[in-house]
Amino acid sequence: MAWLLVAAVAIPLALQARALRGRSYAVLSGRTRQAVRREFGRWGKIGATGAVALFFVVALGVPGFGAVSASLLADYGGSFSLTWANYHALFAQTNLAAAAGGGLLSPLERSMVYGIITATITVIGGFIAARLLSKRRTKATGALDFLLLASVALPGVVFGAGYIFAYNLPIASRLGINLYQTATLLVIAYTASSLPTNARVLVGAVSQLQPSLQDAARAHGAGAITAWARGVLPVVSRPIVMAWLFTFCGVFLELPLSQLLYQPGSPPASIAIEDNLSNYHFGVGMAQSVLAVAFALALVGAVLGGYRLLAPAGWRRIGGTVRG
Amino acid sequence: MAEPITIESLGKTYPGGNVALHELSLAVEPGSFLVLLGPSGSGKTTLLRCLAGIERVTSGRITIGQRTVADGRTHVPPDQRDLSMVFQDYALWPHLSARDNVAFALRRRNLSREQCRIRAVQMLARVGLSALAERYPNELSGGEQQRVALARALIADTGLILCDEPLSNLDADLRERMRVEISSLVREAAATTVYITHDQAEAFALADQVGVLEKGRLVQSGTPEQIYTRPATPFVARFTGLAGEMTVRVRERDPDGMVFVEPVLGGGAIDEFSGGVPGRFPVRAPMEELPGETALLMVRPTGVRLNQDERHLAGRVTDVAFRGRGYEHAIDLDGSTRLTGVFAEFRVPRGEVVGLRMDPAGCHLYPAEPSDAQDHLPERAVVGAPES
Repeated sequence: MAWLLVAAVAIPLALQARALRGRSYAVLSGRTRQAVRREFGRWGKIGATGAVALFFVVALGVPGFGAVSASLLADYGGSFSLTWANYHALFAQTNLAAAAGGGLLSPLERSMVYGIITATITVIGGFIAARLLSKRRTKATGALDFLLLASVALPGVVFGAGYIFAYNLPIASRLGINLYQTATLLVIAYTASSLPTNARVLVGAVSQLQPSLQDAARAHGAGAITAWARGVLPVVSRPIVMAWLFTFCGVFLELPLSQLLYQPGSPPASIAIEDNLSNYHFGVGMAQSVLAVAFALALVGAVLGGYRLLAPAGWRRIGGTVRG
Repeated sequence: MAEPITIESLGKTYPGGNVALHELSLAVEPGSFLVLLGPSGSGKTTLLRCLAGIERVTSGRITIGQRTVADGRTHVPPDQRDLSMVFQDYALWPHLSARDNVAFALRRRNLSREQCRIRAVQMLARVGLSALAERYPNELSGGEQQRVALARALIADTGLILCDEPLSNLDADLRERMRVEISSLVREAAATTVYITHDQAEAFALADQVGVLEKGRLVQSGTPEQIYTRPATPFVARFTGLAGEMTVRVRERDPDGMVFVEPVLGGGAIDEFSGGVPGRFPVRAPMEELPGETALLMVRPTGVRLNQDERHLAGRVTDVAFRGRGYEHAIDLDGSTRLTGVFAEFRVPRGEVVGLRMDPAGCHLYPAEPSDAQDHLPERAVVGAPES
């Protein structure tokens, strides 16, 4: 089945590669004008705002409201009085579990650490892959392109099964590779499953870079690393931050790989939530879900706020708009 | 301090087997302005990038000053060659202001940030942009961006400045003004300059020395005057500006090195002036032409004049363009051979038959190219006016 999925990706991929052969998307340079923002008219604003509001109410508002209200109801809706009991229970159990060396909140912390490590490794690897893919197409980059896109087609559960099969073999142990049922293997799996999507996200931004930006920095006296850091990184900093957040959020509550590969006794957040829900602790599970989403949103906010506050003004101009 | 450049047997082959440079040798005097001229794909950009160190050479050697910067084993990275470069797309960093773009090039001089900024503003003032120092590149016009790129190249006082078709993205009027600015500012800096372009007028206007490239080979090098008056090959002649070309038959050769030729024209040739006498006129020939042989005649716009009384050829005016100082005419000789850019201070109406006088200084003779095989030529061409 997995091979069928890969094969299904191969055909459109080959057609796309053929159609786009020799095209250049390098438009990001000093000559690039900022996009002009056009304002809607009165009715346009009302229509657009209404449509966006409707979408978010249906897609996020309803399930969000459901989760928050479920976390605030005692006895899973047995009474309609709002209560913090589920949150108290969550923290009480946490203290209990912490005293026993585990803890219910620790899965959130653990997932946050996994997410930060995975996102950082993935963004570095994804950027390198994106650089290779955006350069002149060779057999090697063609193969890389295929592998990355084919990996996107594979569900996490297939990845997980493959990792169990590979790292549970006796030969792995004989070779001194004892990764099965470790956090390291889980992070490797997270990274492997995130890298293809991440590279695809970044390849768009990297393809837009004029190679002359780095060449100019080198020609004017900057070493390779300085040229990249001062001539290229600022131009793609915003897409890199977005790709990092994209990966972090994807990993933070990832379920299929976590189910198959998590380290026994150290469940990530998604497993802990699922355990609570499957053991009929709906209120506590929902409280944990709400906290998990709040954690993730807080981190997204902190990163975006940090970028806004700390990145030089010139960096923030890239990809910005001006009023028309 | 201006650096001499020596390029010896330089070769560059890209992955995939595309040969961009082939056994190219060239020497550039310190402080001189070399323009590399050639069409797209001739290897001029590759050569410039090899000089900059952005591309690695496949074979041969590049020496800048006394230092070998590239050969089979050595590759000095661009940042250690102490050069600066103006890019075709300007390559200004969009996240830096004009001042910071220029100041970037001073980092290698170990100056304080404040000193860098002061000198950057001074340099921007030299290119007329002091008022726009805080603007970002996308807030500048094309000409202003090009000036920033030029200021960045000049500020570090490097011994070598490389220019990669810096004017090709500008409109005609701005291009001419920027050409003058580049010429004067770069010469003030007294650096050795290598400049590439596909525009022969730009090349001749800027250069102390011109190198013409064809398919990765240097086919001729010399002063602009040498290139224009003594083009070494038909390619050089064509690329540096022709009114037209025609097949001719060599009739006689005199002891002064002049050969007398008759054009070999098709059946549509205009013969109303000829009176049956073939047009015969003298041209320069960098070859031992024998009477009776066919050859290829390249005619510069300066090699042909409208002249009814002392004509060598006749033709019909097919187009006329006003050029301010006079008129340029397109003249059809036989339905397939056409001379363009034939200058006169007066306008000749379309359709009128005119006499043409050929000037040996603007006519260059070469062996017939394979496509001009004699077998395909008419046995006896109808020619223009008799030699006067």
